[in-house]
Amino acid sequence: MNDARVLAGLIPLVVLTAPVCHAETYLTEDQAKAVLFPGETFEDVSVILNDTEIQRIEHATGVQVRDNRLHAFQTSGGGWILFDKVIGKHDFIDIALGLQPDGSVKGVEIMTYRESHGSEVRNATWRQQFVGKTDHSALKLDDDIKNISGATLSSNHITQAVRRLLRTWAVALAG
Amino acid sequence: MDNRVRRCRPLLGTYVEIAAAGPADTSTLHRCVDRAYAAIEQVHGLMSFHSTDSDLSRLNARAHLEPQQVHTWTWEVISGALALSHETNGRFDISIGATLQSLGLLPGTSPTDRSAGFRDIELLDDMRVRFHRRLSIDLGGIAKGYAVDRAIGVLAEEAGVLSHAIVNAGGDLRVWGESAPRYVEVCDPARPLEDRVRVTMPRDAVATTAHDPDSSLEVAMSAVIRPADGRALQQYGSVSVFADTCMEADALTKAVLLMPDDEAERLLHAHGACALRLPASTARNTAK
Repeated sequence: MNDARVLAGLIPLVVLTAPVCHAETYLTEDQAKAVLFPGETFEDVSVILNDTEIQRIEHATGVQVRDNRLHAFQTSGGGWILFDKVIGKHDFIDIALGLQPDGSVKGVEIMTYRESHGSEVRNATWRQQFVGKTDHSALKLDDDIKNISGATLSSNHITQAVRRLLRTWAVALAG
Repeated sequence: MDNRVRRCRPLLGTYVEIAAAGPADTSTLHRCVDRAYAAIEQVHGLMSFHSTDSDLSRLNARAHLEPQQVHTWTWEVISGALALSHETNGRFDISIGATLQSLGLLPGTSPTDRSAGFRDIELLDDMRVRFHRRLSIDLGGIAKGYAVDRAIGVLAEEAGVLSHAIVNAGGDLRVWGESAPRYVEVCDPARPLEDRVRVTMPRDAVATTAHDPDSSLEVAMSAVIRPADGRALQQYGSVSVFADTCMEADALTKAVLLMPDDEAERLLHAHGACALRLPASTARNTAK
C-alpha cells in the first residue's frame, strides 16, 4: 500500500500545508495568574537559586536545573505560582504551575508551546500521493487555529519538570 | 463578536487543548473550560492503568473474584469496547493488558489466565462488571476518545454562553457548535512535525493512530496488538477515523488498522464513519 486512501466516504482534502516552526501562545503570565487563581493578587517572590539549593533539587529529583532563576509569585490566598521553561526534544515550552498553600499541585497550564524541527524541505513523495485528491475550492485561510491529529506527543517531560519545580518550591520558597 | 479562549494542559500522557468561543466574557469562558478539564481528569482517575485506585485497577485486581461495581462512565466505555470486540471478532480488544506489560508499554506484570479474553468480561446490572477468568484489561485504546466526548458534553451544556468549542487530546479531537472550525491537519506519520494535510471533517470527531519507523517524534507509547499472534503491528503508517463520537473514532482506528480495506469499509459504514489511511514511509518510498 503506497498511496493515501479514503475509506467509506468522501473526505475533502483541502490543501497541503508545509508548516514552518510553530508557536502557540495560550496564556500570558497575567492570564495564567487569573486562570489559576481567579480574583487573587500576587506578590513577586522570585529568587536566584544558589549552588546548594540547585544541588539539593538535582539530587532529590534526578533532574537537571538549567536555570538558576526561579520566577514565582505568592498569592493573596496563600498559594503560589511558578513560571518555568521546559526544553524537550522538539519543543520549548513555557509553563505555569499553581500550588496550594501546602505546596501540593493546584494546576498546570501550558502558556506557550514552541515546536522546532530541522527541515523545511518539502517532501515530494508526501505531496505526490495527494495529486488529484485536493479540493482548493473549499480553501479557508481565515482561521488561525491549528487542529492537529496524528502526532500524539508525550508530555512526560512536563511531568518531570513539575517534579523538579515541586522540589524547588520546597527548597527555596516554602516556610 | 465572540470572545475566544484557548488552553492547553498536560493530561493523559499528552497535551489536551480546549478552545471555546462565545458571547460571554473570557473569565466565564475559562471557567467553562476548567469544568471540561475536570471531566477529563475524572475519566483519567477512573480508567488509568497506572493508578492503583482507578476502577480499572480494581477490576484487574478483583473482578475475577467477585463482581465489581464501577462508575457509569467506566461501564459505558467497557460496554462500547465489548460491542466493538464482538462486531470485529476481537480486532478491537481491551483484554491486552498483560501483552502490553510484556512489551514494556505498561508497568508491572499481571498473573492472567492465558486462555482468557474479552469474552470473559461480563456486564451485570447495577453498573457491575465480572471477569470469568483472571484478566488484565487496558482502556488506552478508547478512553482518550471517551474523555474528549465527556469534555464536549460539559461544554455543550453551556449553549447560552458558548457558541462553539473544540477539544483535542493528543490528536483525538471533537468539535461542538455550528460555528466551530471543522478542519483538521493530519500528520504524515513519518514527518509529523513537517508534513501535514488539511482535511475538512465530515463528522464531529476524529482520532488518528500512527506508527512509522522514520518518525523521530517522542510520542506517547502505544501499540496495536494483532489478535492472531499477540504481537504488535509494526510500521503501519496511520489511520484517521472520522465518526460522530470521539470514543468510536478512537476505538475504530485500531480495528481498521487490522483489517483489509473492504472489511474496514463495511465496519465504518455500520458506524456512519469514514477513514483516511496514510502509508508508512517505507511503503511510500517504493511509489512510482
